[in-house]
Amino acid sequence: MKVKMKIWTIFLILILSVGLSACNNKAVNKKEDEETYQIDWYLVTSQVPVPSAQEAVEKVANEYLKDKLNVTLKMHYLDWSAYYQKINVMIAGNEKFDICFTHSNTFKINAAKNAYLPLNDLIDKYAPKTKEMLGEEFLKGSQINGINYGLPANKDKGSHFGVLYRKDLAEKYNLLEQLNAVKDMNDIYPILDVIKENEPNIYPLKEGGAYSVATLLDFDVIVFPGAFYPDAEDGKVVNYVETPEYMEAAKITRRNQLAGYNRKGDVNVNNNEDYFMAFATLKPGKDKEVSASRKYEYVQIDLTTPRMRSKDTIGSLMAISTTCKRPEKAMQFLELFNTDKYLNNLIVYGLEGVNYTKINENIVRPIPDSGYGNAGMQWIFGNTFINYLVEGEDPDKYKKIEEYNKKLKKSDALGFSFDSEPVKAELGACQNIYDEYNGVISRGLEDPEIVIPQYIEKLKRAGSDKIIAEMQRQYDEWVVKHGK
Amino acid sequence: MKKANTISKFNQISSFTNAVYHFIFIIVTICCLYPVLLVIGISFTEEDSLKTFGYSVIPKVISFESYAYVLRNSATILNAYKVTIFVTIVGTILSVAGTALYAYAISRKEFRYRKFFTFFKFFTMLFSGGLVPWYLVCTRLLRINDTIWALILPPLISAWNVIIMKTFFATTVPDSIVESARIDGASEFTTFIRIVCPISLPGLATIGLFVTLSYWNDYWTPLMLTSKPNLANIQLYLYNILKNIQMLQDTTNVISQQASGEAIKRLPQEGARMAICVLAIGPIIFAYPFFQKYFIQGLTIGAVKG
Amino acid sequence: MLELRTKKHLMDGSAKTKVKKKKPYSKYFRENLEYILMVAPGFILTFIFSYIPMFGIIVAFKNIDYKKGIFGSPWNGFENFKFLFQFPDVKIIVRNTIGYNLVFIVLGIVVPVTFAIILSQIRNKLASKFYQTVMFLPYFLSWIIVSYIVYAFLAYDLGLVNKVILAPLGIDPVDWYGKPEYWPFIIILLHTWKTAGYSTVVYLAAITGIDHELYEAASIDGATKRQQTFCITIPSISTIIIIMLILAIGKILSADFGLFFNVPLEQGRLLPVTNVIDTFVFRALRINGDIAMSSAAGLLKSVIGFFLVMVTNKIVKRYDESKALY
Repeated sequence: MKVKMKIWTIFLILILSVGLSACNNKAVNKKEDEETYQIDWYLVTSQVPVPSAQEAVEKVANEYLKDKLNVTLKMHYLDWSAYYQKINVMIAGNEKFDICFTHSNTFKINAAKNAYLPLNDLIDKYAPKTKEMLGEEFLKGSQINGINYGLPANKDKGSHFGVLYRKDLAEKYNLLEQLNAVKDMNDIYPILDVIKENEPNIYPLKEGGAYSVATLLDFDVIVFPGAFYPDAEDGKVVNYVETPEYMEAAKITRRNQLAGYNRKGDVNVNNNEDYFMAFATLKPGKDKEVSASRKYEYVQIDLTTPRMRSKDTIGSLMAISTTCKRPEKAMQFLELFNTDKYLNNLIVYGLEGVNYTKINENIVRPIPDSGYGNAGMQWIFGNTFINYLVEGEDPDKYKKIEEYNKKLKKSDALGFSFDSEPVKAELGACQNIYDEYNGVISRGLEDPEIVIPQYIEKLKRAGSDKIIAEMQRQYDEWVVKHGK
Repeated sequence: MKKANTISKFNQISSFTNAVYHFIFIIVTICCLYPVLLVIGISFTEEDSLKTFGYSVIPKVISFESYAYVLRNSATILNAYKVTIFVTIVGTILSVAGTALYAYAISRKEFRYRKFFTFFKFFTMLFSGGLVPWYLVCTRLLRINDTIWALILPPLISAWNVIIMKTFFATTVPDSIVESARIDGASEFTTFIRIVCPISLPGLATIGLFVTLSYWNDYWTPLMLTSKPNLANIQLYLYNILKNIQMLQDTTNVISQQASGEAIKRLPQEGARMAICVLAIGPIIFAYPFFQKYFIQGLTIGAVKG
Repeated sequence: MLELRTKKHLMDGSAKTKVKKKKPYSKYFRENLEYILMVAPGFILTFIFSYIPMFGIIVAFKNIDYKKGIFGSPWNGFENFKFLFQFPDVKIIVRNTIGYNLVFIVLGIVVPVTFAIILSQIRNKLASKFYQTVMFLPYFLSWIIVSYIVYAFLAYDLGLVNKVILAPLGIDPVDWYGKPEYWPFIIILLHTWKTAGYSTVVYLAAITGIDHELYEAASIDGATKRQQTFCITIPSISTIIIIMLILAIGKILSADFGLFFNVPLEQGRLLPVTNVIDTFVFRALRINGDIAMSSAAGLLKSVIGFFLVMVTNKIVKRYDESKALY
């Protein structure tokens, strides 16, 4: 019938037009200036700036940038909720953008899929000062097969584990001296008993989720369940769940739970105020930061060796997209941003008098609700050392962090990046098993002697041995190629 | 000739049954109302007293701090509400019209291609190309991203609604009506608008309600397709705040570990979440009573005899 | 729009079409054209937003390389599907998904239909309206909020159930979040609570459309209210019930993510009864997130769901053609 034919014709026309435009790689929005290149920079924030305030900052920045590099900057701030979803969709759709913030797993996954440009040459050529600041090993840590896909931010380069405890309660029972003398967890338990006896409404020790006594074992985890022993020299990959140390730690956690250190039968709800002490990832000055955001004052006890591991090197990176048209401009911009104190603080804090007031040479006070300002998020920007300090922070903060960075013990596996493609099905299965057992064990809710063997057995059935073998194989190969 | 709400007395259910029904529904009401009242109560409670006393419908210590925190950007919120209201109203009208037309056509046995078009729509309920291609179509092909149409067009005609509407048309509209209209020389459109729609008000109201709710609650479409803050609707705005709270509280998260005191300091956590919920659903609860009058009091079938 | 113009042209064109066959066909054309105009907007929108993106299904069979784009990336057959089958407890996942959904389907029809019938029969119309509005409220609460409320009830120490109900009765507090055996009931209860109001609206609207003269005539003939309900009301809405049934069967492998992931507060011990296909996929892809893998999962679910719907529809057709989906 004629009607039917017409319908099918329309179908075909539309399908053709789809085919054409889907293969089309036209740039989406602005025309490109032949002369001045616009850099689209995607950043994450917890408070999206008011457009007018952001434009004001960009205006000043662009005047400066035009002189120096002949580029203009357009910042795109996205909320945490939207950030990765948007970025991933943009990447999958091959949309044009220049620089974006990225970190941890998302970075690794996208880099492996060629979303970002290799940066080694660009860094050597256009960002020598940044390279020097970051240091060989730190840069190496985020490499995949020897290639850098992101420029890490210069800040604390490692971390360690320990505990945070409430100062007011410690003072109440004269425990401060004891706490200062603590060498390891065994010194802590008697202190916890004191709290337990005297404070019925306070729980001595919070354990659960990612933080428990087992955290102090400091395994260098590649991807669950494969890990290295912290100070291993033999480069052997193990399934950390199978290790005797893990079982021991789990038993201690179980004992703690039964002794009432932890909230009974509880779920990992965020009620931090009820606890005297909790495990945490630490760095110098962490306790002051935490105290600033909570009701009580906390003090930290450092319990493991400060180390630089792969995961510390991918905490904050700036990546250049494969859809960037002038990568050299983008890298030049990043170098300038990381070294120019004026530009850096302009972008991080905004305009003086409008977005913040200056207390003295290096300290600022952000003006609340001024429409622009990244206080609290300085760590996503390239070089925190040249940022102004926010009022109330430790004035020696940067010195302490630099010393800390120098003393970090560097992991042998820095630069090794595991390609999960061959075992991705097994890894996915193990993730589900992790969800089933980890919470229970890290909270001591069941007897580990019973539960851990079940855990191990399920992991094996999901293919954990295959994962470990593959990790070992890739690591050995990498050692031969890139060496220690 | 009989209106639905005046059942003649001798055809009513017995008093005993009536009482039993009321009893059942009172229990149902409590189950449904209590949690909502709880949410409202928590949203007006002071944060610290929540930790000490737990949740309760009547706040132990009243505080507006949660609302103050969530509503602090009044200009943004006003704009968000404006966006939401515009999108919801325009979207609902267009959607109901489009859906009803489509559904009516495929409900008519005279339409030769009804099977094709029914299947065409139904197939999309089960198969989807995924997020990225959809995103590409919206941004590359149509270039509607960052426009108000991005919020209205993509979800406009839902297969679910079409199928329900079609069923309504097929079961409640007697063929005799349509036949008699056709004999009188009326075009299909005229028949549809003048005769079928008035009879199908309950069905149209049902779809209207569902569509209104779906537009109102949609945070996903603006999340994906817009980046301009002035296009954020109220759900997206609230979702962002909620996500920020979650991100900063999840201590296993690298973000929370890195973020300094400043970012975490100002959060009234539980209360804020509940306040967000109240603000998100508050206005739309009134949509239901608005549509409701079409369910109980549909126009009569008397038109057939007329 | 392009298409409408074309169709308008069509309309003009066919007026001039030579009538090759019997006279009624010109009228027939006109009718069908009007129908085609009616479906035009929906058709176009659906085509654009649902069919064009379907090219994305190929993602499930590719090893995506962003530099090469979706079309340029290499194929890798069924690699992306493997993870769905390599989980040792995959039988449990599938059992959970289908098991819950079967119960949801049954309850999702029985409960709303019953409520709709009752609501249409209650004498006091004002009360009926009130009940309907209230029943709708749970739909508005997101699962995250519901998870907090559930926690308020089931928390070990401060939860309402342990403190206010069990304690006065002298029963020991129960570790609700640690006992998987209770959770199927909790989940089914919550799901019904949240969705009943929404579905009731559909059935209520259908009942409203029933000709009341039928009831009058029946009662004059001496039928009891019960007989009327079963012989008039239910058969009249049977079509919509069956349609809803078929649609629900198509979704049998999907699950309400918020319910199964958020409400149990991610408690590991509950996973054997709360992990469904969608949550399993989410967990598996958390570390290794791969759009190809999630695409593969979605495709598999679609294919199976589609197959089930076709079968169900055929069965329904055999009994009564008019009640089938198409």
